[in-house]
Amino acid sequence: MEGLGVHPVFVIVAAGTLVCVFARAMAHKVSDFSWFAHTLKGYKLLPEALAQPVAVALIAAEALIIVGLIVPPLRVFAALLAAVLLILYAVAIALNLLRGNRRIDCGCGGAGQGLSWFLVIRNAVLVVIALVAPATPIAVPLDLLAWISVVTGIASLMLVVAGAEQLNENWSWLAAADEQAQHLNPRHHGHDHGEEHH
Amino acid sequence: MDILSVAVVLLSAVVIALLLVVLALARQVGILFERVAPMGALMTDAGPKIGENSPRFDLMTLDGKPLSVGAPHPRSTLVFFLSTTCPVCKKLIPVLRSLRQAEGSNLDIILASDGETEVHQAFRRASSLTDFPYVLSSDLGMTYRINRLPFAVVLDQDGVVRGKGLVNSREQLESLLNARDMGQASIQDWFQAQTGSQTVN
Repeated sequence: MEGLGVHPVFVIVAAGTLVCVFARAMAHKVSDFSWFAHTLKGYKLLPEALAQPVAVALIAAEALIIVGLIVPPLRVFAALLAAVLLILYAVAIALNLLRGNRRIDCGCGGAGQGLSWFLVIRNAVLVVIALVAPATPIAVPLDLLAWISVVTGIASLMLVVAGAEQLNENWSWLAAADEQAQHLNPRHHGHDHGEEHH
Repeated sequence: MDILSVAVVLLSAVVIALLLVVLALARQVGILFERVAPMGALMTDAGPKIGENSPRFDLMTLDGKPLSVGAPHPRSTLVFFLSTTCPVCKKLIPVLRSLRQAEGSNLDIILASDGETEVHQAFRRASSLTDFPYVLSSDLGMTYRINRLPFAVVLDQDGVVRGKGLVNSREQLESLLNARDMGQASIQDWFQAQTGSQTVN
């Protein structure tokens, strides 16, 4: 890197990773739309009547981000929209965590996992990536090695995202098992206090 | 290609391979948890006990049909307690479907919950559960002392409780039906019998 400029490889990797992240998220939402609208109600931040239109709007925003990140003139706008959306999701999750409402489907797709601070941190990291994506890269030619770096960079970041999510899911299992162990041995942990933690 | 480029390409390949290994390991841990973590459906002591007659409830389904729980009935009954917001309940819906197919004419599956009718109607449509009888009764949930979901109760033809517990997986649901078939209340009971007063953890 020379001066204050950002090497184009970073910009392309950031944009490419966001495209993959949002494509995955959008696929989940579209494939089970009615459930996604229902999940939105679980967050209890919106009037129920708005859940359906907001669900459509979120999916449209994600589609716009995916297209915008690929089409060069729209890249800056799309990256900023991505940052806004990620912050919005993180705030929605954080509000519910603070309200103690963690046993709702996070809407992350899959079988469903509860909310956790991990999801907030994940979004914060993705916001950082979304702030790299709109940067103006310095003008350097991209050779074969640069393109190899782009492909492996995006692939590595997506694998990290997938791995971290799997670990989070495992952690939900562990938390559930702990809770049940307490339930199983009420004599050892106080009677009829399923919610107790130690 | 100079040696630095070769090294970068090689290292990139190694990083990706390692990440794949990490992902596979994490997935395997997840599968292990899913399969073995809670042993059998977890029991609570409160509410009607295994082997006792269930109190009789005369309820109305969301479709407006009368339905009795706990009354003598030609088939055994699985009452599945769920809520509209519990992620595990959603995961078990396909399991309920396949259970119904496997058990066929031996088992009726009833979904139970409480709360506002409109909310549950919407949930039922959203998760295409309209082919299951769906009852709303806070009495039913209170009688069985349900504080965790999803919870299942198995009743035999005479309305006697044959199994009940918190269910988080297909294995746990099946274990409740095994309990009905084998007369063994739960794996916890079986362990208790095996290990004396020691508890399972």
